[in-house]
Amino acid sequence: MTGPAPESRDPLDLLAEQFLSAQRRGEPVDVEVFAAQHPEHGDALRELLPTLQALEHVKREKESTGGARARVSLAGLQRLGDFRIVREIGRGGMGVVFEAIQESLGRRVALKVLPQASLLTGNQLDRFRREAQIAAQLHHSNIVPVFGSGESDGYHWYAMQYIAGQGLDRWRLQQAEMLPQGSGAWRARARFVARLGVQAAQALHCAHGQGTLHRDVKPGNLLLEGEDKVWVTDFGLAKALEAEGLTHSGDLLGTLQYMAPEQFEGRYDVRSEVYALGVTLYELLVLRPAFAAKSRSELMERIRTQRAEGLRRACPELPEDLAVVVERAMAREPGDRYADASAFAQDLQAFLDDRPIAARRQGAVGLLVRWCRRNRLLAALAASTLLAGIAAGVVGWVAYVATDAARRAEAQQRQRADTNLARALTAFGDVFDALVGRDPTLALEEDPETGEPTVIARTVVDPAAVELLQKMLRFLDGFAADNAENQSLRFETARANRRVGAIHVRLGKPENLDAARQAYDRALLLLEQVTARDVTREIAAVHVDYGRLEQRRPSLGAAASRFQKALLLLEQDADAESRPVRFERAQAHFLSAQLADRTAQVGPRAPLAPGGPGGPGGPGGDPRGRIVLGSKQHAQAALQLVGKLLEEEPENREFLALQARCLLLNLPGRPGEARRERPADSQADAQREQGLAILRDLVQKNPAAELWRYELCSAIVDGQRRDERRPGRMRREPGPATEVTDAMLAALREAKGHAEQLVKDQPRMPEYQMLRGEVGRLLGTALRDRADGLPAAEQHAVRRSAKAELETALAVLRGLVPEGEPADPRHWFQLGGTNHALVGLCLTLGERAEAAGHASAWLDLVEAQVTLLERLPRPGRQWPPFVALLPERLLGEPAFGDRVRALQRRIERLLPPAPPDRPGPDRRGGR
Amino acid sequence: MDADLDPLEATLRNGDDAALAPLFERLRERLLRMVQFRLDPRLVGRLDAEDVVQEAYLESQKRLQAFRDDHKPFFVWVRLIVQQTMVDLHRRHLGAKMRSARREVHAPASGAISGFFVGSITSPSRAVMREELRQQIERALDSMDEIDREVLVLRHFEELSNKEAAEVLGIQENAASNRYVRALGRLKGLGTQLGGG
Repeated sequence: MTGPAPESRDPLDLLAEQFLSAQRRGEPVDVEVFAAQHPEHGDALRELLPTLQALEHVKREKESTGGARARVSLAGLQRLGDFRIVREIGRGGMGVVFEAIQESLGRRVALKVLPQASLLTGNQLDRFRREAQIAAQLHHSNIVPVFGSGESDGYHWYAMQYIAGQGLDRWRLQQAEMLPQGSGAWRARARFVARLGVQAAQALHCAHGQGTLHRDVKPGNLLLEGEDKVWVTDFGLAKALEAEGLTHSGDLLGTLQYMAPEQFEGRYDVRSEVYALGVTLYELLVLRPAFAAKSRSELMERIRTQRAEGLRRACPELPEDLAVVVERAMAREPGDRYADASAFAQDLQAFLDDRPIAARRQGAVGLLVRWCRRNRLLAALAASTLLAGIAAGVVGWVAYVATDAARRAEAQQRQRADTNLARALTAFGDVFDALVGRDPTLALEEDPETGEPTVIARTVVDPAAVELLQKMLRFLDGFAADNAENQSLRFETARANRRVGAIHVRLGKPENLDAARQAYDRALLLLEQVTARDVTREIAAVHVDYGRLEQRRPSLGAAASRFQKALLLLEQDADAESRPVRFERAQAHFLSAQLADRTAQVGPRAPLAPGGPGGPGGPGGDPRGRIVLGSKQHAQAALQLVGKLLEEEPENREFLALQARCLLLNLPGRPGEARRERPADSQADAQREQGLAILRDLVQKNPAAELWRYELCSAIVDGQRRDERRPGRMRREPGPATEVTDAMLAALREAKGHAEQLVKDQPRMPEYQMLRGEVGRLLGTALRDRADGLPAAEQHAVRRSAKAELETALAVLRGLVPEGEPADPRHWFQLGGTNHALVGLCLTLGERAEAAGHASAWLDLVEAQVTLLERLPRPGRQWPPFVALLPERLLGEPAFGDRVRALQRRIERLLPPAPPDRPGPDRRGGR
Repeated sequence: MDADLDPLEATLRNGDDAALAPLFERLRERLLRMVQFRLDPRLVGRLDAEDVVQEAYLESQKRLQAFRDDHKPFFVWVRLIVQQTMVDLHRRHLGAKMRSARREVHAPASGAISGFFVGSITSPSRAVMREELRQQIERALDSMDEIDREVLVLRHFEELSNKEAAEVLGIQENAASNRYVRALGRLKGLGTQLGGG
């Protein structure tokens, strides 16, 4: 008790204080002795000191008797309901915590008692109890068990297991007081903190798994018991007391210092708790909070906009790996953190075990990419912010270069700025890759850390992601235009354009296909202007992608020429014999083979419906006759290349998948009429089975690789389609049905399983829904035909299940285009075929009203198609004359007869005179 | 107990909120005493000093910014918050009857203080003497300057240092010191009577 200016104080005051201090410390004091020691004030002291002593006496007496306390206060609480209070453990914002004995159960508890001054309303009390109940359901070896809550003697309480320990907030302050220490102590503490972190993270993860968020993770809510056991306490209590006046309504939930930036925007999820735990561990490691400020607003601003000082900067003795792990957990963007508390725990454990940590420092971009890969959907949503950051880096570079200062700047500085730009651009590309996959047609990607190829979980492609990517693209495009001299910018922009094109192709709507064409054209244009580096492979890749898109056109020449260009480029490539280039060459050969196969079977024909802006195509093949190889030669070249690749890498799944694709290509008579009459080709059948087996194996081992599943399912369906096309299958009346074998049904059921899985995984992919619809249609018609061959008693049940399959297919297909007629001819075909099959089946089942409904819907489709065809300058010669397939019985119905006859007249006008040898109705319509 | 030398207090001032709880804990006893001493007798039984201090703790959590903005020592600052909390609670519970809540809380009447002194003399046989003594003390207190009286209370019952008392009252330290000695002088002669009680 020393004042800064003792000379200014009354000397008597100082002496009195000295005397009183001694007395308060419990030292023996005597007025007379003291006065004698200070003779110059002796008399005055003899007068004053007894008064002083008397006052002190009164005060102490009052304290010991409880004085003016008129009722049992919290501090003096002896008993509360069933609880006998042992002692006070601590106090916090939410009341007083006692050690107590729950007498009925004879157990020791920690009893949290809320202060009475804050009265709870009924609703708030309900919530408090509800939260206590939820917390009571959490069971984990590091979560303090909650026994219950209630109200006794006007106090609201919350009983937990008693933990003999202290909060880590206190521990931290004690440790801080012990500073400074040697580096050994820091390291030991680092491991200690990591061990606590593992336990706390596991506890949080357990709660998260049960849908419970803690909402106030901080050192004070982690109790340290014994040497190194940590208990997480007060689960959900912050939420329970929200707006209760206890944590003060209007305040943000939780404790500001540990709040994640996104909380200020009202977002909160498990990653916010990963963050809070990260910030907590940070504080325990360096013994001071990660964020500190003089005011709340300043603190919020810091959390939102600044990074905490680097752990190793704050404390160089800390192990690097641990710093990386903790800093990752407390990344500002939720997307940059561990995806959940379990991943955080695992990496902390990896540090403790001296294993490599997952979050090895790889720069923000690396983290970003990793995370995007793991959380594609979330990434798509969060990417706008991330990209804004990258864009800022790029823009910053431009601003820098634009200044005069930069022009005058040292070459070195200029170079640094360029490096930054290059990094930002690469980041752009990487984010892009992570979002959509490097090549959307491939299911594998290399893990950046291990170099192992891994299966992409699921490439979620939805319109929102596309919109986002297009925004990026516009930015890049404009940026590249403004910085024409920058070659790498052009290259990155070209790459981005190619990827956007690929996404559009996957989405598959006509407007997407137009957009894809534009993107590919733009990519090629940009690549042509890149002279500083070899972009041959990239150009080839664009051509391949472009060719894939052009395959959708009725005219296949454009696609063929794209593949051809790609092949030529790849063969001229400096690394033509390298493994990746050989693989790409095999791909191009395969695609060319597939295309040539289609060209051969389809022959010259006009579109079924108005296609894209490409309009009607020319004759089969390239008009200039540049397709030098036929489908067989291409297929052989592809198989040869891939066979060689597999010799080198027998386990490579991409190679295997391509091999399977090539094998499945060589189907006898697949799927067109050109080879239909050819006798069965046993070698081709064997190849087909081999291809299916490879795909089955790939799908089984990589259940998440949807692309392979799609290919497998399509291949099975292809086989069944071929069978179905045999004369008489589709034509219900009057032709006899071909026999439906058990093997056929089994294959279709397998396909159905795969298709269902695909639709479940990717509900927004039209391709998958189309496939699901087709499988349903094929299975339905197969069951229908099967029923015909069964004894009468069994027919009905099989027909009912046939009808169910068809109805499912109809629902899926209708879902693709909720209103109006379908724009995609293939879609139209599936829908019309399903409708038509249902008409016949319902009639067979005697459900005339339903049959009429389906027939009416079907006629609407036909009418719409006829109307479209009438507007075309060159009507299709191979118009599938569905109308002729209308069940005879329905033709007799007056309601339909007139419509059908009118349609027939219109169609006849559209059709050119049929050559005498053409089989007519079943030619293309037998699906 | 000089605030400027306390590392924990510096920690709190520098933005580490975790230091609040232990700092507050250290003061809890003194704050309780302050509240007990100044709580309106009409509120005894309705309000508990514990509750008031708890309420003040929550309030101080909210207002940490103010602590960091002006340079009052922690104790002085917390004490102000307790005082304000009491004023609010007095107003809330006594309403219109308590127009002068602020004043009463800030400077208790002589009667309250004398009652506090003599309240400890519990022996019935000394009831008469107690009443006499009470009047005597009250006269002594009444004769004091209001600020002298407050200094005495702060220094003695709340165990503030001279510096703290000066800061609480917003006066110079030497002035506070002189006032303390002067107030003690007014009470001289009471020592033997009280001490015997």
